[in-house]
Amino acid sequence: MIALAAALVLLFGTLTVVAKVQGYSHALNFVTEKFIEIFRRNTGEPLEGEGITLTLNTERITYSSVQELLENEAPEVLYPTALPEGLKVVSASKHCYDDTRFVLTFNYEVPTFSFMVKNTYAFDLSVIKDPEIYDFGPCRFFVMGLHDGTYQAVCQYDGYEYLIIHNNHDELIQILESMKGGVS
Amino acid sequence: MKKLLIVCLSLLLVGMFSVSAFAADEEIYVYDFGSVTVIFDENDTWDAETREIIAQRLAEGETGESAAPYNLLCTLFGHKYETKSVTTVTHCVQAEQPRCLEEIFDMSLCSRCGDQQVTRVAYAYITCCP
Repeated sequence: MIALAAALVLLFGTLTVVAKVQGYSHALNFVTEKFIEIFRRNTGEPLEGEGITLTLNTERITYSSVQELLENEAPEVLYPTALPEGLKVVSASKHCYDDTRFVLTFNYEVPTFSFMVKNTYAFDLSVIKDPEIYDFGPCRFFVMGLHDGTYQAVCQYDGYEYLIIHNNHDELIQILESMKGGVS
Repeated sequence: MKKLLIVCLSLLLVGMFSVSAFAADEEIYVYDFGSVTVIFDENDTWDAETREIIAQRLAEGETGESAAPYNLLCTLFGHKYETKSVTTVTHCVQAEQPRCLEEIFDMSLCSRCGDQQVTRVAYAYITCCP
């Protein structure tokens, strides 16, 4: 019995050291990966880069696309149908402040781009000095320069408030122009 | 007369308790540290102490991974994270409107060792302060 315990300790110890040396965060990751490599079995988890994981309070739900996520979480929300090269959504978060108010965010690899949708109007458009105004479809976007040289667009439409930031003005306008909805 | 007095006092006590409890609920998930307000979900399940530590960390602008105490289970099997969204508002960042910066973070906390990971997922400037 003691020998078995010692063997297990030795095995786990060795695995942990090997996993750490090879740059894994923990031994189980290392073992799982090696197991799949050897037996070429699929774990059933979505592959890296596939699907969008939504953090909803404490839950994490993986959808196959932005379209599917919106259908299930906020069907009326508009979303850019064309994004500049290199701008790819990697995950999403839905922060429910209470039973009625929420903010939905799409998270991108590029930290200078931000996309946020609230289901309440909180932004006072009347206090913005000389915003650029763009009308695309039924949406009126107010674009303003920010102190760090980036640009923010704000739109209040159909009960939703859109707040979009990008460091490239022209690309931001193209993104706004491509905003579409109606997945419901 | 005595019974009536007891009933009145009881009602008064219950009323006072209800009012104070309501006030606590209204404010319990909002923390102010200088010019930064940290807001948790109304249905947040972290305890008050944890929330306060997280709020302070976010208010101080700390993101990324924290130094967690060593835990053998986490080393072997990885952290057991619980992830929630937390919002911060840094007031009066810009001289002109929109003046305040709203940031949304995904906050992951390991229930075994307390390891924290903070990732900013979105931000926007809002018209919060005049």
